[in-house]
Amino acid sequence: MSDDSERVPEVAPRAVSRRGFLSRVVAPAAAAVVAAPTLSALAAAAAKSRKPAAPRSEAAAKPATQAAPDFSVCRTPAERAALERQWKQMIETVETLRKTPLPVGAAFATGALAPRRLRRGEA
Amino acid sequence: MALPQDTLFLSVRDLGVRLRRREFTSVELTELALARLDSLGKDLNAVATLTPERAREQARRADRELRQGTDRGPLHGVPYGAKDLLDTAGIRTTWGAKPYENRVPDSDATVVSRLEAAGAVLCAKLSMAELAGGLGYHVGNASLQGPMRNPWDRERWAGGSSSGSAAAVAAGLVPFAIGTETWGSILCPSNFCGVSGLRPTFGRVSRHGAMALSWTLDKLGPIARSLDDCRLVLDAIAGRDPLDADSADAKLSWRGSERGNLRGLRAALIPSDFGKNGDAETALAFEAALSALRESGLTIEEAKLPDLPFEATAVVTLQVEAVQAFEELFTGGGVRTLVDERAPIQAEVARAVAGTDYLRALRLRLEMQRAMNRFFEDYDLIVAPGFLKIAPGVTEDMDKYFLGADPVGGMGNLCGVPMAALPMGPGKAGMPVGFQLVAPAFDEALLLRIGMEYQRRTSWHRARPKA
Repeated sequence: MSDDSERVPEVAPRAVSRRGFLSRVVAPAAAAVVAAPTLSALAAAAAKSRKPAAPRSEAAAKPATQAAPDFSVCRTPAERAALERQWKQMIETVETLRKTPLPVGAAFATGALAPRRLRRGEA
Repeated sequence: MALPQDTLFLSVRDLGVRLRRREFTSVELTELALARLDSLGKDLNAVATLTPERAREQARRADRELRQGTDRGPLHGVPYGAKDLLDTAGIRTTWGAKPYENRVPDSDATVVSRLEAAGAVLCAKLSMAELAGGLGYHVGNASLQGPMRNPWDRERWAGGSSSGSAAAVAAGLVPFAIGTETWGSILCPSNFCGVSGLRPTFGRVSRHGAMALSWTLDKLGPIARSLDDCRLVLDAIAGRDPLDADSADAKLSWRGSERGNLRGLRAALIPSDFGKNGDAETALAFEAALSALRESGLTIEEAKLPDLPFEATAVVTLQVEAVQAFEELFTGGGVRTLVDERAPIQAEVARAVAGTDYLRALRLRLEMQRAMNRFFEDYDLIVAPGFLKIAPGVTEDMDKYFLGADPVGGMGNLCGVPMAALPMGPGKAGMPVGFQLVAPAFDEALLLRIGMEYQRRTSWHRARPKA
């Protein structure tokens, strides 16, 4: 594969003067900005044309941390108490994960990750 | 002539040598194992199902082949037991749980097939915590086979979830057994029963034909008296299996593991607060283990794991996968037949985790694996105590007994790195206690090198419970 940096352009680029650049590129762009509708106008137009949203179910409307377990599965007060406790613990556990930063674009893992380098040399 | 009752306390390696010297036959060894499993094993609730027909047939074949000069390796003719979540053709495999008490698979798990190919003799399916603890348990009686008793004190728990596997080895019923671990299920019973456990890297051993509890955390591995014996077993069961998409290609190499001198190796010691919820006797035993390792030349320095939520990430991953794995028990009502009274609420608990949270856990996991790989550029391995206390009573509430966290276990299982459990002497009341080693992914050879050197210098792995 050839290195792009070594390729010679087939057509030499035309020299562009500063004035030419301003008149041909910057001025039309500036005019377009002035002619463009404002964001608030766009939002108003969108609101007019938008159909009313279907009502969301109660469960879907709540983020998981605000959702509640179905206590009807509990048959005894001890089960209910255990569910209350474990639910609270799990909510806290999930919150820990949500607060842990992740690099943008981070992939996921489902198995082991072999190291490239060990302290005592190459893996 | 009947063999001495303590014959099965010999190491796998030693048994193999004596079988080849014709000191005894595989049939004689197998009959001894079957008899001990039937009596002592049942007293301990360590046995789910005896497999005498299959065992006798395999033993006769082993004797015949060895006589004819066909040698399948160090396990040839040696009896063993398998955790009752490994499929065995025509033999019931209950997963330790009432809803599956009559489950009879029609083929063998890959591990069982590989051990058969290595000439090992399957004598029993061994008891386990119901569903390997997949829907939780907090008392040592949560098993179809009843309270999982410790051979060192039957009123204490054997550990779990590979309870019968560790108890059977500790009691001299079989010289090795196969266990599984999602989070602690090989290391915990190994430590509590005073035997050695080798929990390999995720993907090192095929899980085809094993009960799925957590597709991204489940691992299989050996439990034996010594780490050297674990190595022999791992040699036979490791390797890529096209029937398990997660099984790894990575070659299992033991190069360098025979070197005794540990000079030049640097271990990170993850501190534990024995004063908070531990036994003074366990702290002393751990100090003695560290001294033995230092005498071998190992440099041990206190260190901290990367500041990342390993345990929380493992908890979220496990909860969601386990509830999904056993969904049919919730929809069909079978969950109500389990021993653990909290199992029926676990699907509700899992609802606290959104799909995006689960994916976030898997994404964090990769970052954690990278962080640990950087950690292992500074340290060759990690040393940490197992449990800070001896095994709890068999009917004791573990939630009240164990109060501490498990950062090393959480990290090790989430990152899928190999770990070993080694006995380190008696703790309180003469009960066994142990410690753990953690190595980078696919570096089981390092665990073996450290563990074998430790076991050359100590004899805790040879200690036996009173009859």
